Amino acid sequence: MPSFLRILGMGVAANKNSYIHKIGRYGYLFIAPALVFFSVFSFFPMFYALSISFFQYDLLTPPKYVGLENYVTLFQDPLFWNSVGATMIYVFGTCVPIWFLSLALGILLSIPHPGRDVFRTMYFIPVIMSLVVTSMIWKFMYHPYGIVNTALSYIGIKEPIRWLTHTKFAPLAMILMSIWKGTPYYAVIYLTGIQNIPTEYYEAAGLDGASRWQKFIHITWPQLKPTTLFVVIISVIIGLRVFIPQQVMTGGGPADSTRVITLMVYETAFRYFKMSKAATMSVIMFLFIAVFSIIQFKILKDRD
Amino acid sequence: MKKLLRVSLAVILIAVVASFAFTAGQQEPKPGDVAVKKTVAYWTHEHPQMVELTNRLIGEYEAKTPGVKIEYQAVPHKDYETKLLIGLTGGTGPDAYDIGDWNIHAYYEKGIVAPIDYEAFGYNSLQELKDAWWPASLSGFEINGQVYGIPMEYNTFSLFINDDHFKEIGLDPLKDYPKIWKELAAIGSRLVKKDSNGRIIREGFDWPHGLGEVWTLLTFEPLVSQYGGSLIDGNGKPTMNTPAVVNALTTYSELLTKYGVGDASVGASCPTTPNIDLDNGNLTMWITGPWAHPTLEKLKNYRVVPLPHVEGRDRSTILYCWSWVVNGMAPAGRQSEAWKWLNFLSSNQAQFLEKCGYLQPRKGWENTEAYKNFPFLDVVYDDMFYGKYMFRSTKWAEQAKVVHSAVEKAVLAGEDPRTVLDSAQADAQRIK
Repeated sequence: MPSFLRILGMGVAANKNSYIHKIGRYGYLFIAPALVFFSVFSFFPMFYALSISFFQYDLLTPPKYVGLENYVTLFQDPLFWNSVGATMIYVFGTCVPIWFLSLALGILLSIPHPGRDVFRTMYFIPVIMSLVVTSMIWKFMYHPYGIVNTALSYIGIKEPIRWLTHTKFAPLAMILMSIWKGTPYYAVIYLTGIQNIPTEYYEAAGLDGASRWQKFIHITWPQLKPTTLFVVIISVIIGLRVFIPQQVMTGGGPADSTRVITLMVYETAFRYFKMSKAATMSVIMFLFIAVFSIIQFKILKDRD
Repeated sequence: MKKLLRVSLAVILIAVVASFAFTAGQQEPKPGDVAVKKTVAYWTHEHPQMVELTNRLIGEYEAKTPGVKIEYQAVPHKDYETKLLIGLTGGTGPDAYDIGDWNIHAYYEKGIVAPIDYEAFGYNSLQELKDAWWPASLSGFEINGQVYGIPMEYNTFSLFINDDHFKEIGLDPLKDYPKIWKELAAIGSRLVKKDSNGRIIREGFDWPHGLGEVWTLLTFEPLVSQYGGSLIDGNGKPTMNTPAVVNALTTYSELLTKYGVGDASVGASCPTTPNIDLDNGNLTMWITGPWAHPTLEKLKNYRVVPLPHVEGRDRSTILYCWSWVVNGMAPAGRQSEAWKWLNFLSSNQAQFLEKCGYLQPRKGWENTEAYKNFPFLDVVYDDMFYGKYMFRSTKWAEQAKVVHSAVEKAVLAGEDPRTVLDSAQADAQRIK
């Protein structure tokens, strides 16, 4: 047998003409297109970005190897840390409320009541709207004389808030819009998780005299751990990749207060011709997401 | 399962090695087509009136020069530089295109602009070509003795004022328009109108907000010049926190923060043109260029007056343009055809002015009706006389962003101009 096949571990079965071995070969054929697709459009760009982070490269002139210089320079750049800060504010400001709100909404949607199906459909509308359209609409709504400030004036906040032109309120404006848009999506995920919990557990708990809260703490919450793990990781990943609201609504302003990492990567690559620096930022983002995901898995993993 | 994992890892390993090999082994971009095809790929940013005119001129040119085909693309403003860069790097970019003059040094450094082919314009020397353009109009494109672009839209910024609003408060727009910034502050605050709830329904004056760093620099840099300063010195080093720049930013920000001539938040949320608030009557005074005239559809009674200046100091205004350039990476034959196409385009000055409000500084059309009838051309010329192009730098985009952020901090967040400019200077010095 050729040595490279031994390295790949192929053909190790004692009887390579066995039925199982033949089925296995067809399995490779079935996954080959997907593997090639992901290799070309996911893995190759990822590793290409990693490789150019060790060069000085602008796509127009030949690349020049610089080792870790891009990383050292980046860690000393206050504008990069400003973007990290803006991103973290957005991610945690958006994700933490979403976790709780989507769970609450999922529970509400699981309770039978008149009009539940209509309400479920209506509440999902923000999810299916294009993010660009949503951003444009909220931009109008956030105008000092727009609907948001008008509504606030009815509860005593008369002074119009400069939602998109004040450095303190612009990040909050992004967060509120994202919570509005993201909560129904995760609520549906929680709803699915809740519906998969066997009702016998609740019946048995009911027979033992458990209250609603006790049922939630001892049945619902533990059973939703895999769902919660999914929601937490995916919401953070999506949050870290946010780009459109900041690009459409504020352009990263005012005064860089909403200039998240993805926006900085975009500007660095396509406006400043610094593809390597942009790649370096992308690598750091990837590492952060990977570390965060691993930590989440460890915290929320069911040790049983 | 283990075999599947090994196969997957093998594929990933191959992808890793290939990507490193690909990066390290990349050669300089080769020229696209070897053969000289009589096709000129032409890209511009999107401006509806200009796009319409260009399509018509393409028809004329193709009829006049059989065998030459112009492939035209108008790209939305926001995506333009991105698409241009991707096209140029991928070999699918244009042969001729337009860029903002502020980018010329950065593009020159990357080799994506070509020196002008004066023979394609019918001249015998570069000097002869330069003499055929208005004095100083090509200065923004001269690098190391060569010219790398010609203005498609040659501009300055002047002050547009709404005559009716001035008359409302008892002022004569012909005589009482502001000549200095102090007067603009005084008049502007009188022009502000509020409703019964105290909401501003008309601003007296406002700076551009949400239009990006180019607009900020176009309106801020003249103030810096008026105070005798500059954002970058002659050696390319940033000088963003000198007293002159601090004074400029103080004047700039105090118009809104202290004198209340306007409110940065109350303009149109999603403006279809930068001049929309002026056109809708929500703003009385606005700094913009001669290209604004065709965009003012509702506003009828207005005039253009000289850009205000700092009291007691010399006048200084801005020059800027969208300019035609040719791709420096295109084969020589395609470059020559591209320059010939641009020669044709730049010979239609009257049409560009009539349809788009684009002034072109190529001589020879001063006796046309379009030239004579263009509104307030005398004011535009006057401002141009005192005009200077924005600072030149191969790192213009990054440095302009730093200035833009500093201006936003002072105007929108009310921060102290000296503090924000000290921070901007430090940020600009870090840019390599």
